[in-house]
Amino acid sequence: MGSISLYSQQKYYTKSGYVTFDSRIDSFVPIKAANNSLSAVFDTNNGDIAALAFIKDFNFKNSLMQEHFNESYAESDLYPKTTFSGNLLNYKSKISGVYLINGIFNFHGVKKELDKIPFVVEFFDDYIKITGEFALNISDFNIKVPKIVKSKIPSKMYVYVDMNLISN
Amino acid sequence: MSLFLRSSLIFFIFTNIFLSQTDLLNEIDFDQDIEVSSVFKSLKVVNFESTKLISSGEFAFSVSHRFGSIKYGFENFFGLDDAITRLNFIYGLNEYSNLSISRSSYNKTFDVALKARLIAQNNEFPFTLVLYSSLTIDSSLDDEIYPKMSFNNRLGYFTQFIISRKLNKNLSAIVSPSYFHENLVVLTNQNNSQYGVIFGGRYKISKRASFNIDYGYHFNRSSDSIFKNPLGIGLDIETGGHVFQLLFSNSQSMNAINLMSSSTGDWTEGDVFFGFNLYRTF
Repeated sequence: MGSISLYSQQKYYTKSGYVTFDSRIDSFVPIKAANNSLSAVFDTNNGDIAALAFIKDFNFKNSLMQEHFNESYAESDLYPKTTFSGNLLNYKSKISGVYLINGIFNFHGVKKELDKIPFVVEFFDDYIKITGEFALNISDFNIKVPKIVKSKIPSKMYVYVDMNLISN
Repeated sequence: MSLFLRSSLIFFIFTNIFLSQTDLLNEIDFDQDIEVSSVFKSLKVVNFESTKLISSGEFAFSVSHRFGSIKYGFENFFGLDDAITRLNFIYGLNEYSNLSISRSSYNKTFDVALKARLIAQNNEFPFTLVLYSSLTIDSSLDDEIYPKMSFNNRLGYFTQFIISRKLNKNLSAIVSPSYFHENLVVLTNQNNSQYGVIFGGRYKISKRASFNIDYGYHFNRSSDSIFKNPLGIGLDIETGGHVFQLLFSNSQSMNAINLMSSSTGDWTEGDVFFGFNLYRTF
């Protein structure tokens, strides 16, 4: 219990992680957006990880689409943040490799448990690189899609994360 | 070890794991000073400019129509026979300013306008303030009818401050004090320099539709003027890359200066024009 604070210097941080979501469906207006200001913290002591991004920081190519996304789908005025907190399974301190992560993903006010998502964790001299990808079902997040555009809205979104964390 | 002790130990370990993860999230949690978004969805409220700008490097094309007066009924098919068209090209110079060039078939008017956002409503500042300024050129004036006319007489200047506030999720409003100068006025009693204020707003009736209204009050219209203050009432419908605005207006013109100076229709007599604005960004 005290060990957590004892090893607090073992935490690595970033405020400029890269996260994207993409429907991976070719269409005239592809649904994808990128965010360059993902905040994250990783505890090298026990493999705990947490990340946070602001919905409004997701940039779409088409700014009107970005407005629609914020106002009508993600409702970012009500739910400004999306977060993840989890733990690397079978974590071995400072050993690079593919780890499975269990955790809670929070978006649009809905908490969704994610199970055994593979992430690549690489330890370098002065930073840790974490990359990975997972798919989300849009229907899990209580997002109302009007019938008229239902055919245009994909059922799955692929979230890709790439971040370099440094020790503070 | 008693069952109680054991289970409380397990409980303690579990809550500790849970807490440590929550703590970890709390460590990076913060609140952003976020600009209020989507005060207006389209560049115009109905007839007049909203505080919406397009983004840097973006290009938008807007088509607007005002059909003939609906008061003649079937005779002109409720106005559909006599359409006025305005094509407007808008370019985002940077995040704070737009340049636009338009041509309207009303008086064959060309118009160049600059729209610049001076400050945006955010958590701390309650208003968005935008400066809009346009130069119009009336190319319909005929040299044969006005032999003494110079190019200068074709010009009109319109400048306004647009102040908007998103009052809540559904309701946004504007107030726009405006000054305009027509180098040529139809009535001799009409001062070339004119003043007005525009009130307007939108109320969202669903996620993708809003009810919009705007009204322009003219402060120094000459007493013998037949022209009316412009009132527009419309419905905004949003889709992915477009906004459609269906509207009724007592003005057939679409440039701010013409709207304020020479709107001919009269709501009380049913002399109004059906029309739409639609725009698409690229």
